[in-house]
Amino acid sequence: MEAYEKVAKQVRLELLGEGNEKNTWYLHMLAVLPEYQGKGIGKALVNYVTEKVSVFLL
Amino acid sequence: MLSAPHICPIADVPIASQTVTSVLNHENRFVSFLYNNHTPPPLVPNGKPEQLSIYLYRLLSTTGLVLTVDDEENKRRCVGVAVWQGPITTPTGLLGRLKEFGANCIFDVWNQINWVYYRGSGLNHAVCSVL
Repeated sequence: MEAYEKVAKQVRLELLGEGNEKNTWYLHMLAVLPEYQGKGIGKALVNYVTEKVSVFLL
Repeated sequence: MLSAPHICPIADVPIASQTVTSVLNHENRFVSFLYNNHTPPPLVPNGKPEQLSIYLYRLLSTTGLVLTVDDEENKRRCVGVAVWQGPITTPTGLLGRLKEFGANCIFDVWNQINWVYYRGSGLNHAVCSVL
């Protein structure tokens, strides 16, 4: 787990740059019921935030 | 007819929890790896919809954003759920800090009561038992 966190921290730093981590929106969970998948629900749920903020991490 | 994404009403949190926990792939080793090693709390998601609900309530009362999509035609709520964590801000003023402290205390106690009620068994236990 420590190795995972180390790599995750490094990736975040590379993606976001120094100092941006505190201003980032994180997508913790995204779930769509199987019978509703493929209808653009996930996309709409992600776009809702990504269209409003500049820094986000999926 | 699907609704546009909107912020999950408090009353719909248990339904949103049910949606998230129902689509988890309990046989995925990565799921096991992630959710069996999250310490300290929040234990996310902790398998039982009730425990996930506590986490969502807490998010909604702090900087989180729980978005849902409803199926208005079939009157099904929360067919899609997204849980976002916004930038963590330090509350200003004594009142803001007291409010945050109070909310965290209440949810911590609630989470512990749930943990005792389920005797510590959550998704972690269920996932590991199928591997």
